[in-house]
Amino acid sequence: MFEINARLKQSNPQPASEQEGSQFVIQNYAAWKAGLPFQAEVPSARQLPAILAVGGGKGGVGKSIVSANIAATFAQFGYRVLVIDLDLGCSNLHSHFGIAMPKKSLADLLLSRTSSFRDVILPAPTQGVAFIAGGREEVWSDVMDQSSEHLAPLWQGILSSRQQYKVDIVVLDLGAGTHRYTMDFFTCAHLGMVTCLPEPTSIENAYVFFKMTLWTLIDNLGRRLGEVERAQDIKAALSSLAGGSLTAGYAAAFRQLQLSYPLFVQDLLRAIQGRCLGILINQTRDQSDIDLGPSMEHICQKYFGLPTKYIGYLNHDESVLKSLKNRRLLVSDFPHSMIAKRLSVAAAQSLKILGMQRRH
Amino acid sequence: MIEQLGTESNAMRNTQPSPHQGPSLYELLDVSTQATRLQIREAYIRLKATYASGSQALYSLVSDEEARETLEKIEEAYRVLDDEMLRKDYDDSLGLGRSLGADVFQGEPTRPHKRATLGGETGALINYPSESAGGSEPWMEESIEAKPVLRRMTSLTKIKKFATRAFDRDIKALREPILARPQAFDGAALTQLREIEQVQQSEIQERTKIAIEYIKALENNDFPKLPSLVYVRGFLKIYLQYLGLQDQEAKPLIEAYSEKYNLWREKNRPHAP
Repeated sequence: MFEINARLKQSNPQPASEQEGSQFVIQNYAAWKAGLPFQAEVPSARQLPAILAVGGGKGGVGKSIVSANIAATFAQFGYRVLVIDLDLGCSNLHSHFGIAMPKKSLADLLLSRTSSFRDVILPAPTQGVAFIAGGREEVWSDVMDQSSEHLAPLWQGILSSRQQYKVDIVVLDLGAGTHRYTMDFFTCAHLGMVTCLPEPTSIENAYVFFKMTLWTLIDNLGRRLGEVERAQDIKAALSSLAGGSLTAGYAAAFRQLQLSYPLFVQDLLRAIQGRCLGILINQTRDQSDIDLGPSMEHICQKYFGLPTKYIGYLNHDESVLKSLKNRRLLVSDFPHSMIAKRLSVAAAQSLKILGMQRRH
Repeated sequence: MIEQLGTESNAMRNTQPSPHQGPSLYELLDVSTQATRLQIREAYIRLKATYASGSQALYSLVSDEEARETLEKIEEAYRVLDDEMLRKDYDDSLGLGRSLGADVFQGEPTRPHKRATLGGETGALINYPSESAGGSEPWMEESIEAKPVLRRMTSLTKIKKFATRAFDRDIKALREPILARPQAFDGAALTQLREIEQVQQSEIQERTKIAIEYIKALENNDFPKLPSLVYVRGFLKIYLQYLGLQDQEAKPLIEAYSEKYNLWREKNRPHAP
């Protein structure tokens, strides 16, 4: 019932050898590390999993669907994937896998601290995929505005997942909005994928999301370099310099600021270059929706100065709703649907950005 | 022509103007200075969709007004970069050494707006006082660069429809003996016409898109190498047009040439079995 790929049934996916890691992760290790939101011990470049975050600012743009299904598609390509539901307090990733709310969840790891990281990893109904559920809603509400220190076991778990559980790719399913936690998770990713619907509200929120990514990176860097005040200055300067017009985008403002804060901005630009942003257009109905992707890619590069890639698009498809009602994973329920094909294209494109070879 | 674009690329790249002079046309179109025409065209189509009115991708970031301005700049950039002549001229002004064949248009005596060095370029830019009204901030300077290009371009397009000296008075006088005896018109006369105007075969090829082999065959009366009569007449027509001949002047010449061509065809027609 749950097999996607018959070959996977015969033998479990081979654990990755060290050579098969992501080229992107290895090459941009130092730059990526510079922009991390936490001060934890990071394993060496070859022992890191590739981290893919799926965000997008607005709710209902298909973040969880994309996370669950792209993870299953990666697994079809022969990778071991861990999906983590980080929509804290509003989690429903398990529903996309077609399972009821699990007993063990992230809350047990981070709040009550009754479980280890290993204990909260649950098997998904697809070979090669495991996931961590978000946990009961009510328990998160008190914690959301506290400091992010109690997330430390989670960071530790994610970073060491390749060493310990031979996970190749970690997919983070982020929540809506630009909460500090959400942005922290997003900046921690190697490939930050922004899902976006071809409609003005969603596009606006996606751009806000990009802006907040920049802001968070500045914060992170300030904290890391011990120059929090300078980070505040730069943010204030950016706000006054940029905005309103294309020629006065953040990319141009950075060039300005480089004169006043040469070292910090240089580090910042390096941290930005150490990660890649992806744009995924969801629910496309016609060609003009599909063409939106390259346009947004261009705007993001020009305006925000972020390395942005168009990952692909998912067409509007009734089978999404049907599979949810059937309580099964979309790509298992409708493996030959158009949207499954588009997902596989998007997954292949993501792998290409990460510098990974398809194994199947 | 495309394979020649790659020569002396990297060494010359360093001479590109520094970014504070505003984006170059290549940066506007988001292509490398070595991009082929096809790549430029693709980039142009993509950007045109991006900045088209009502484009969703701009929502909340860019005003309609600005999108329109950017679109204009992109159109301008495309018009320059899509035309090999204009592009070469622009590259020269940037100090990029993207060679375009071995000095194809050397014979052109009055080359307008030739700028020798990069230093000369910056000097020339300051001479446009009206443009600096755009804004005092450094990143507004791009408009300064775009405008001189516009000016140069209009004059060039006018020239390049015909050979540079096609309508000179003394050229007309020199042409007169050939036009007076249309019956004798042949390849040699055609060559004469071309040489009077000091036009190279390669320029004819570039501007009329007739293959260079056919141009040579036409001029050498090399009938076996020519395609069928319809094409030959078409070639002659645009060739002569480019040299600046009126239609009524060209017509008897084409007729005479066709007659010679037919004569040869008659002679060499394979005998029916």
